Amino acid sequence: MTQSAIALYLGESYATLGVFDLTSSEKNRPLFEKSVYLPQTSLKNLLSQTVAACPECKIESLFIVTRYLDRLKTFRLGGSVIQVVPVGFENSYTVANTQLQSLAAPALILAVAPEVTTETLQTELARLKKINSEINKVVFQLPESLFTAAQMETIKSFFKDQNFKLFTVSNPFDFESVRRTLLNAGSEGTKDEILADINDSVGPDVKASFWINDGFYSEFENIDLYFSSQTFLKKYLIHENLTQAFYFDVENWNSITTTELTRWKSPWGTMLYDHPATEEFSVSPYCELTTNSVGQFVVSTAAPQFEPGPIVAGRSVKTLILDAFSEELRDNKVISSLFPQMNSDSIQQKVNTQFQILQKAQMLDQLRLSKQDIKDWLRFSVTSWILNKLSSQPTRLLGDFSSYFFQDLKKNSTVSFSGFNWPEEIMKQVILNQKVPLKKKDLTIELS
Amino acid sequence: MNFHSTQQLLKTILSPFESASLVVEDGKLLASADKHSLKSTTSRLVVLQIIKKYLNPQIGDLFILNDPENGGLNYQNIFFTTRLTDKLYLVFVKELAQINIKIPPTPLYDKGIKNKTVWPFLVDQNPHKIVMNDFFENQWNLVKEIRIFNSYLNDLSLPKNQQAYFKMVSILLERYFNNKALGQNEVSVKLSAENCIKLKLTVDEKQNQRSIHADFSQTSVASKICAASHIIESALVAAIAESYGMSHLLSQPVLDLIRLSLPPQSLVSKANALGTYNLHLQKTITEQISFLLNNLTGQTKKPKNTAAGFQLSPEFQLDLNIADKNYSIAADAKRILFNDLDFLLQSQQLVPLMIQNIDGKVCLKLKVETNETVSIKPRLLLPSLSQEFFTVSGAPIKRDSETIAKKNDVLELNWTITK
Repeated sequence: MTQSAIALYLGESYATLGVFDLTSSEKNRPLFEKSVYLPQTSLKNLLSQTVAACPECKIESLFIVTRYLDRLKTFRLGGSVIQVVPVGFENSYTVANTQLQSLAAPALILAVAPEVTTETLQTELARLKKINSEINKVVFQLPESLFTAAQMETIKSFFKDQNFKLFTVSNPFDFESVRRTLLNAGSEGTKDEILADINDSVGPDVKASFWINDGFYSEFENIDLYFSSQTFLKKYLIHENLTQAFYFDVENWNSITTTELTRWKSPWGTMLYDHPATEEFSVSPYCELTTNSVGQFVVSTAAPQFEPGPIVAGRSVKTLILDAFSEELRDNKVISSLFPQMNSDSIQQKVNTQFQILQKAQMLDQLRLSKQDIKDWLRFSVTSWILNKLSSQPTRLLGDFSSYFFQDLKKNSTVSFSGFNWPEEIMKQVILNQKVPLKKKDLTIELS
Repeated sequence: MNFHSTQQLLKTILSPFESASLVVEDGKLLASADKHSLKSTTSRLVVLQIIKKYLNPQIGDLFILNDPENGGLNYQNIFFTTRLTDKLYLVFVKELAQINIKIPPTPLYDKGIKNKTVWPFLVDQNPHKIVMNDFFENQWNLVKEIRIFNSYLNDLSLPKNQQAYFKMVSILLERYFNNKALGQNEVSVKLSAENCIKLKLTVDEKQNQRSIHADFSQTSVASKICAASHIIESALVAAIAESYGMSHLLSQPVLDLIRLSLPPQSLVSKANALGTYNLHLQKTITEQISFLLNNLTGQTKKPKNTAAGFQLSPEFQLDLNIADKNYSIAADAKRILFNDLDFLLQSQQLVPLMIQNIDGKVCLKLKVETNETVSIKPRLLLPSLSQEFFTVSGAPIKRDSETIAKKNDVLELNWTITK
């Protein structure tokens, strides 16, 4: 049995991993690689298949970089979270901008007076359980100026005794702090699902650690997971002596810089959180290509269509941006692994037919775009966006589409491109971290 | 470049700006972005004509103006004008709350160099000189960054490319136009006992020529409440484009569709020296247009058991000022937006006594803890709003001037979100 580690990139819609031999002199050469499209193959199945494919490997560690929690950004959170607040402060964190998504279900707010008794709490909990019987987390937004330590203890003990997971807002009148704690509570279930998949497939003894800010940690706030891939890319930039990059993978196109921002303008409101400045391109590869009310070609403004996904995934009839590049992506190892049917004649035929239908659906002859026209337009759009963001410092295009979008930027001497193999880059950081021990939090592994 | 690429390029160039226009040599509007609550597409065209007439802009120059009686909106919204190529100009608007003086057409940068006469007078002697300096330099940097598109800008400057673009926009407009009903409708709204706006809207097609005619003929003569015609036209253009779903095509062919009849010296054609009522009148026009076009196309969903009469929706915009820093508070039927409320509470300048949002009923009670003077000044305050919606220690705020609050005063806002 060889001591091994799994390096896993867990995106919103796909996962890609590599198994590495920790005892080998070439630790960053994978023994095994696999990528899956998550709507078709779960993380648990991916890991189970990996363990089965490497019977000689003793998996000791799992190093994860993720942007999986980005899928929560279009949702209201807090469906199983009780929010305990003083009377008069119900939903107070929403008042700065009432149009943003909520972090706590209004029906699960428990407004309490300082003198609240255990009996009242019991009655209220029974009422809330009728609304959602699966509530299991509670956020306390109880200011010291209104509640004595004893009163707070009464309330917290009650929920602790009821086996609730407790989250306490450090400064209840600081709504950025309230939002952050609510987000931690609202994201707990998703984190637990990931950890459960790992335990069920690789076993409870494996040590799973996530990339948080500057290293791999197993203890962190859930908000940290929203920035795992961004901070990893920032670390990559620093290591490569770059200050800016443009990242283009199968699900996400964005720019990233090493400049730090202190406030996160989240879909649920601002939160104090240091993170690298990033900007997403206006459309995602999973956006639908369609026509508008006057028959003009447009990219749909609806949320990315991970389910059922692109035509190249084999199930969909909706034409997505990703489908336009079916020919260009044929030789891409990760994408071929995500969409194994992509190279079949029937799928290629289906893609071309869908683009012909889209071409005919465009009502104005003068504005009609073919598949090639659409690809050219997308490349032009991305190139002009890059030019608009370009700094005078060296810049790199990264990821599966980087060579494609680099074509119109060749003349610019400060711009280069490179693919980005997540498992290998993750393993490189593991090895680097081994050489420079981490000081903060919890260093997760010492390699043999 | 094909039409789609041109459209994408125009969008990218204008993306750093909230309110901006690209205008070609003969004054035709190539593209416009209008995301600010005060609409200014037509105002920007007026400003460009003034700057061109008096200051002859060259490439690398940057001019400013904020005079509400000469194309401007109010003192806080500064119009920046620059020449990008021989045949292409950029005009954009940016707000700075600290500016409270009238700025006539003024050269800020000459061929990329700060104007040595203007800069010391306008910036260096100003009590907010650091803020002002950063503000003006940032706008100049935005202009400089556009130069990366020089080769594309040269393409956009070619008359044949502009004509081709306008032609395609016209073809698309025809389709958008054909999707909506033709007809005539009118609506009146009383702003006060003596101020009434009467708008007759005619959507027509004669000999294959489409037009939208907004006739304000019976509108009251200007008194205290009034706004310049470009203010009214900017709101009208934005509202029509929005109603027809063609905001993304806002350019000369859209302007050519619209005809206006504004009686001289009426409240919709006479500039107010400070632009005090611009926002109020733009809101009124916007809602009138939306009401009329919805009625024409039968899209109005009439509430049960109520008459489908025109009523301005409740809305307010206030500036809360503490120690020269501005915090805007705005609300309408859909939302409340309190800019930097988080910061005000973190800094404990204001301490929360109650902040509640239950089923859209919002109550906010904040105690003033700072020793600094707190001023509350309305930008938009509809007469129909209840006196009690915003009080300072129990007294309603003043409608036409600022209200001052001091330490230990309690600010109270009560608002209902209905949609």
